[in-house]
Amino acid sequence: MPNPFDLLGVAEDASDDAIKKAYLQRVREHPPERDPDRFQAIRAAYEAIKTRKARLSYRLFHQETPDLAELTTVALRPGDARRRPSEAQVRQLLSQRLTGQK
Amino acid sequence: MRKPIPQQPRVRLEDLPTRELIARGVALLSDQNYKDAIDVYKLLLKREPHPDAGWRDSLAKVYLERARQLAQKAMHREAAVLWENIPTLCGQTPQPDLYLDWLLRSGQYAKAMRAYASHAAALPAGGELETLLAALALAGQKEVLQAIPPDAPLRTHLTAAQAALRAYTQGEAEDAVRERLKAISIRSPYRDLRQALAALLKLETDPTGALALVERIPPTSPYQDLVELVRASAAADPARALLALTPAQRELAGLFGLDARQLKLLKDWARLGDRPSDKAKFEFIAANLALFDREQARRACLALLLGYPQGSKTYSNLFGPLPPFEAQQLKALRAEREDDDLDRTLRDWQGCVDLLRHETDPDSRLMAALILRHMAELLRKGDDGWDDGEQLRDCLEQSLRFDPDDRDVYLQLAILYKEVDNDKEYHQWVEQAVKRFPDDPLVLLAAVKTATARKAHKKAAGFAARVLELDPINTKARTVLINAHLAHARKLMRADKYALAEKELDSAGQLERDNARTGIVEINRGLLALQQRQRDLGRRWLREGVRLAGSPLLAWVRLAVETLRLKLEPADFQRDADLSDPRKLNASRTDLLALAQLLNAYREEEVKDLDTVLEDLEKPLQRTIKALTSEDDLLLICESLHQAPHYGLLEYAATRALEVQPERSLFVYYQIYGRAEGDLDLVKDRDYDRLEQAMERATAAKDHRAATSITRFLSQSPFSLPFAPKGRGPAPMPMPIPIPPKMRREIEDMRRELERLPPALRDRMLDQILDELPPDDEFPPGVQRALMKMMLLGGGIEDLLDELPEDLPLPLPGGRGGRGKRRS
Repeated sequence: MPNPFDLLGVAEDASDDAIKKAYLQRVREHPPERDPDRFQAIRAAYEAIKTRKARLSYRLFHQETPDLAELTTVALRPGDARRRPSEAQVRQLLSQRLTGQK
Repeated sequence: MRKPIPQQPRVRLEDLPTRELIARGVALLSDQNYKDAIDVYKLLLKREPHPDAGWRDSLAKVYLERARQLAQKAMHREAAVLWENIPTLCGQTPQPDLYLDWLLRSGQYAKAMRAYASHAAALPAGGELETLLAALALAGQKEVLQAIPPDAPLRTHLTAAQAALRAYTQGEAEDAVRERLKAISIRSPYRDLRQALAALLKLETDPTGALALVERIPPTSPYQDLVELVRASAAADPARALLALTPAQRELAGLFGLDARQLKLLKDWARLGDRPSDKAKFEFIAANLALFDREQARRACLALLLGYPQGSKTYSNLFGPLPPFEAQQLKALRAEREDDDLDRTLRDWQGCVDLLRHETDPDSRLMAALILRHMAELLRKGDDGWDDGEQLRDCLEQSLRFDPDDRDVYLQLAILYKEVDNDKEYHQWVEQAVKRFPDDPLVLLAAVKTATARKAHKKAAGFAARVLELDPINTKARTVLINAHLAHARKLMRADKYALAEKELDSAGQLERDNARTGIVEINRGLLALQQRQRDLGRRWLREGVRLAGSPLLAWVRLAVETLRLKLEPADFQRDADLSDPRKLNASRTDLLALAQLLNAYREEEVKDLDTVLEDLEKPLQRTIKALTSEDDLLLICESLHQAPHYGLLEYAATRALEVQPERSLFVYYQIYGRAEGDLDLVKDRDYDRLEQAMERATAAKDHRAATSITRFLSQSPFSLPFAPKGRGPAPMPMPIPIPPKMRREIEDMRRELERLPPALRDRMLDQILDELPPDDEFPPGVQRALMKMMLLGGGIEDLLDELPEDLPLPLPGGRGGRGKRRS
């Protein structure tokens, strides 16, 4: 299971109310009839941390390895200065596509 | 062993007459099996090479289609080779553009350009092939560049395309790049480049607009990597989209506005691969720590230490030494993950509790309670039948000292004590739950149950009434309350307190919902009236009760149960109730299934004498059971007769069930259980063997229900091993020693003989018996000797373990437990 705090977009010290609000917001974004898998994940995340007891239990016993993609995504937040690629980079990308290399 | 299937002799294609060969070719074509069709049409062409026969066209077609199939699997080189057969064998060159495409995509540029030159006239102008060649030219592919004729658009437009690409990549202003792009016409083989560069340019000011521009580039375009980059960069969560790109695409991550450290992070991420180890993940976080949220990174590293304990030192260097609680928690989680030593895991978790024991903040106390409940759960999961759950109950009890507000723990404790027949503790835990949660329906329902079990009907009614106040549609509480009033009414009727009994019946009647009347209140009203010699009134009530019961069968059962509860004889009221002779009743399948449900409900109410009630119904029920054909129906009937219990009918129903489903272990058990009237001593040797076979089948098929039922039955044996220490109540699942009844009787005789002997002579005789034991396939001599001694002298598991030789595995039915796994 992905980190439920990250999935709901709440801090680890968020209150019950804040977590519920975030959960309802996520459900609105991913309603079960349109996105059942995502909804299930959101629901499971909410169940895992909805009360103080559940959060403590999660902190004590969950053994899943951390979701590095989540951590890395935060670290890769783009800046404003987009840099254009070099001509060589574009040519290289084209060559790799045309010869089937990835 | 399975009988081998005779194989059809394989007919060689060469041996088939031409007519059959043609039919086969048509069939293969319709199945799109071009691979085999090639062989057929090659042979047909060989037999009839004349052009009028048309085999050349057919062969050309199957070659081309097969080549397409290969190309769809990205086997471009193989596709090109196959295509080359067409001009050689068929004298045709269909779709040379495809052939060229496959050559180019497999990197055979020189050959491709030779084909380009020779098929130039047949190539479609401005198609995908041209776009592909243009992209290769732009990428600097020399063989392609050299072969393009000087006047071809591929050559004439190349300079403009290169200039536009250079202007964009060298950072020229937006307007300047746009001017360059204008030089590439929309019919140019470089038009996709124009569109892709326009989108990249737009990305800098209007990402949404950039998305609209790339929509016009076809999915087969060689510029798709640039399209995907634009889409990722304009996505709502570009960082996540960036991670989903290919490593080659991520080389252009500067487009996302990442700084040098982020680009390095991205490279490290790429190196992690698809399934990185915990070590690799730990090192990745450590190497890029400055970019992460520090607390999140710390938690991630801490979690990774579970699988990578060698990282502890680095962890301490990065985040400081682990606090004692986290270090202990890590130890416990690691022990739990290794899952090979429950004692160690429990000790490590207990270490966590000890660290929290003297803390006073609410979180620490709650954590201690949660850990103790977790330990109880581990004990429950790891239960191998060796103990009676004392440690588990102890964990739960301790947890309430830290967090007394967990309703479920009180109820769990009550159930656990009930399971070991400790009624005192069971009632006490329910009472404690009621004190703490006086308005909780679940707790109140548990309280109703304990009060009813203690025959405190008034108290039970009080609890049930409270549940109904809180939850008016709670049918269980309503039923319980009605039953409590009825039980009280019966008590009063037996004590000749008729007026009070009537009041109780009134209360029960008021609680019944109109659509759920069972007739039970009316039957009791009738019996009450008859007891007061109000014959007409009594008859009217009884007949109303019969009507409400639903069918004569159910009416008879209800009347019989109610009269027996009042210590009366059912037959005395048969005429008053206008019921015919129960032995002549006709019961339908629906009546029978409803009866099964009624019997189950009575069992839940712990009604006794159900076998007596069923006695008069034996013949009509047998007739209905005989007509049943559904396995589910028969299972339902067997289950309720087993619970009732009525041995004769159970055997009858199980025998019928075995006609429908001969191998089902549960039906074998029900039949033998019924035949032996639930007494293992009455099981015949042949049935004992059948029971053992059924047990083996149930175990192999993971039919836990059948296996548990059979094990319970076999554990009636006086020689079952009570796997619980002395003085702690019965074991949850005694393990029977599989001994056939005849042998058990012999052992019992020997035991009685030994008991009669004086002690000194008894010991000598015992030694002699043990020394003369015949070899046994299942038990080593030491174990066999210890078991026989226990069976002859009696004694508990501890005596048996003392007798066993050290390090001997104890074979147990179903492979549960063993000495080596026993918890201390």
